[in-house]
This record gives sequence, structure tokens and C-alpha cells, in this order.
Amino acid sequence: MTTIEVQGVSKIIQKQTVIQDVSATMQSGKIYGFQGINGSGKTMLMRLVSGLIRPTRGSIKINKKILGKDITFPESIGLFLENPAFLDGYSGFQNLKMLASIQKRIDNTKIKNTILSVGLDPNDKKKYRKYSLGMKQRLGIAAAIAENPEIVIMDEPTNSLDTDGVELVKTILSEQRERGALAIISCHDLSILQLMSDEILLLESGRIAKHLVAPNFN
Amino acid sequence: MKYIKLLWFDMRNGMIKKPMLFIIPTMVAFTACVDLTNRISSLNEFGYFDFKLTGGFSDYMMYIYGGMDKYVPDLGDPFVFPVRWTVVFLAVSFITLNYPYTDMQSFGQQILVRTKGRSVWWLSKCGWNILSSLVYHCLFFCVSFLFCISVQGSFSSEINKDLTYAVFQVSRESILSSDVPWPSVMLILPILISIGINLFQMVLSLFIKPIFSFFSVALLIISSSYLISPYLIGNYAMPVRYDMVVNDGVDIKVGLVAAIALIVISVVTGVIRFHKYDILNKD
Repeated sequence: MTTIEVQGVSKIIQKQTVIQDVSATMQSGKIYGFQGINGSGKTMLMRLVSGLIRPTRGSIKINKKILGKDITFPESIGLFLENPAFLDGYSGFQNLKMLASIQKRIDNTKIKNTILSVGLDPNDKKKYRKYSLGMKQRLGIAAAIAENPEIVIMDEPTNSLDTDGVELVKTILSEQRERGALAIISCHDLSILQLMSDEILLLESGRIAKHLVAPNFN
Repeated sequence: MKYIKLLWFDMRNGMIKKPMLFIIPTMVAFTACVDLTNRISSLNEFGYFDFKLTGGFSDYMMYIYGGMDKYVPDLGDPFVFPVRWTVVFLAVSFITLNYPYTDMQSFGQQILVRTKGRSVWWLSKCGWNILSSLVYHCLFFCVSFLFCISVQGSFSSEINKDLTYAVFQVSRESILSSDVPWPSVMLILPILISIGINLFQMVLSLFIKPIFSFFSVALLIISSSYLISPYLIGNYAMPVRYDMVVNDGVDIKVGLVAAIALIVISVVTGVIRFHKYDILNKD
């Protein structure tokens, strides 16, 4: 059981408040959708939860452990932030193998199966630099879910994807929920967000304007 | 184990997989060697030496790393910028400028969240910076070595005193002895200073944009050539100013302490700063 507790978090960057007094509790087995226009603070909140940036005020607890104090990063997290970047000179498989070698939680078979599950060929020797935008996006999703993390964060995972790709994201998110992961997604397509999410946090100017729970999204 | 893995990853992606970066030090060293050979030819033609001199390996190294004599501002003696020496140090600083920053904003984020610790990631970048600097300086050595073979120069560890004072125009009383092998610390210290400067540049990039940290380092290096001050660490990277070369030169022992202090302070400051550093995208 994974719990994320965001308590009165504010973030100021270069004298600008990008996140303002945000509080929310998220639990495993659910998908949380972050909704809002560009600059509303969705990505910043994701970066805060992932430990990449530190709150100016407030705290974020992952399973009662304070991020930045008790732990530096969540103990089990898969991250897909805007425009995923991999090593240009490596194939998709080599990139994921490189990442997997750090924690050694999964073997080559699991890596290959994950690549297959996002619609890519694990035996494709093509270098990442030659990937299309959609392929890059799919590899980014594969990197986020490959190690079965307890927390999955996906920022705009449907960008650059065709219809099949969007359906794939929906399937992957459902699988994450079924296996008991806590997933956080943001998406410009409101219909996808409403379809997939158990709860939606509507962000406006860095604040939570509304906290909606399925099925009452309207 | 995790550290070794990260360091190997950084060495591969920040250096080995970027062969184009090797061209800069190679070209700088080659140009310096050709330049010294031409100057020796000119000096031989004018009968400057008692015999026909051929530059040795130590002379080439001195020519690359020597720097410039202490400058005393005088209306009749305009400041001549030590281009070669500055290019040597700034080339290595420039080559090691961008990788940590770009990695942190791209694939490095994935690595970072998986390592679970910021310190190990930062220390790996420090290790990469030190090893890369060493490798690039090794290139200066290798090119000079090969060049020396091609001109059939000597490989003794003695610097030719007359040549040194001719090319660096040391005007004060000299104490360099031709028949005494010069200590290797004379070349180790400039490299240590270079490593310190590059680490300082890397930690500065955690506070300001990398390009500004490069300009800051450039300013430090250039002002070191103009002013003699214990606070301008570039002074200790110029063997021509060492107390074993000129009688009122800078103390090489102080230089060693300053270099090690700069390295340690940069690494520790980086660990502390990076612990609270916000990892954001370029935009």
C-alpha cells in the first residue's frame, strides 16, 4: 500500500509562485489525473512528487517518509516527464537495459516484454536518435513501467501518439491500476483523463481549484 | 558498486562516445609543438644557442604549460596576453562544461531517481570531471611525445634553460638549472589546478548558467596571467612563475595546497548544493 501525502506544498521559482498551498492524499490502486491549462502547475507538482524539485514550503510524504528529508527520491517510482530523453547512440533495448542495471529488479526478458507491450520491437537495432516522436514516446512509457514501480508518473503520455498509441496508454494505465500501482497522469485530452482517472485534481495558477472524484467529473 | 557503475556510465557517455572532443586538445597541442619548432629554427638561424638545438619533450611540455612571466604594468611594456596557455586551460574547461548539465536535464533524471541518492550522482560527475580532465591533458602529453619523436628530440627530463628564457622572455634573475632534472610536480601542479578549476566551474553551474560559469573561469584564468596574487589560482598553473624557475616566483607548495583545497571545496560544496538543487527542464 503506497500513500502520497502532499501537505501545504508551495513552490517558488525565481520569485514566481508556481505551486501554491497544495494539499492532497493519493493512494495505490488508483489513477490520479492532473488537469489544467499550460502553466497551471501540473508538471511542477509531478516534479515535486518525484523528488526532482524541493518544496519551498510544506512537505511531501511517501509512505510516511518525508521526501527530501527521510528519503531523497520515492523508493519505487517510474517517471515519464515531458519529452523523454534517452541516449542517442543506443537502441531502445540498450537504453532500458542501462536503466534496469542500476536497481537490478528486472532481467532482459522483462525488458523485452515491456518494449513489446508498448508496441516496439525489442530486437530493433535502430538507434534512439533515429526514432520517430511516437516511438520515443512509447519508449519513455516503457521506461516508466518496466520495473513495476509502486508509483507511476506520466506527464502527457499521449502526446505524439496515434490512435493506437492512445489506446495503448489507456490499456497500460488500466494494468497499472490493476496491479496496485499509484498512477499520476496529466493529459490535454480531457476525455481520456476523465475516462482513466479515479480522481482528478484541477489545477489553476498553481492551486487546486477542484478535487473531483469519479464518476462525478462534471 | 553503484558509484563505479555510474562513473563508467558517465565516462562512456560524457567522453568515450564523444570522440570529436578529443580533436580540440590534439589540435591545440599540435599547433603549440609546430610553433615551438618554428621558434627554435628561428633561434638556431640567428645563432642564439652555442649549438644547433632540437627541442626535447620537456621543452614542448614547458612551452604548452609554461604560461607567462610575471607582468609588471609599465607604459613601455604592454601586456601580452598568454594565448597558448589560456587556450590549453580553457579548452579543457570548455570540453567539460556541458555534459553534467545536459545529462541532468535529460537521461540523467532517469538515472538519478533510480540511484535514490543525489550525492552518488554528483560524486560520479566529479569523478568523470577529474578523469576527463586527466585524459584531455594526457592528450597534450601524447601529442608532444609523438611530435618529439617526429623531430628526433630528446626525452630527458631537463628543460633547456636558454630556450625557456628565450621563448618566455624571462627578464629577471633566473635560477633554473639546465643540468638538474625538473621535478614532475612542475607539470602535475598545472594539471591539478586545471582539475580544480573544472570542478569549480561545474559547481558554479549549479548556481548560474553553465556558459556564465565558463566565463567566470575564463576571467579567473585571464586575470591570473595579469596579476600575481595567491587568490588567483591560475598563477600556480604557470611553471614559468614557479620559485624553482625564477627567484621571486610563486611557492609551488602553496600551489599544491591551493589546488587540493579547490578540489575538495568544489566537491563538498557541490554535494551540499546539489542536495537541494531543483532539477528542471531548460525552459
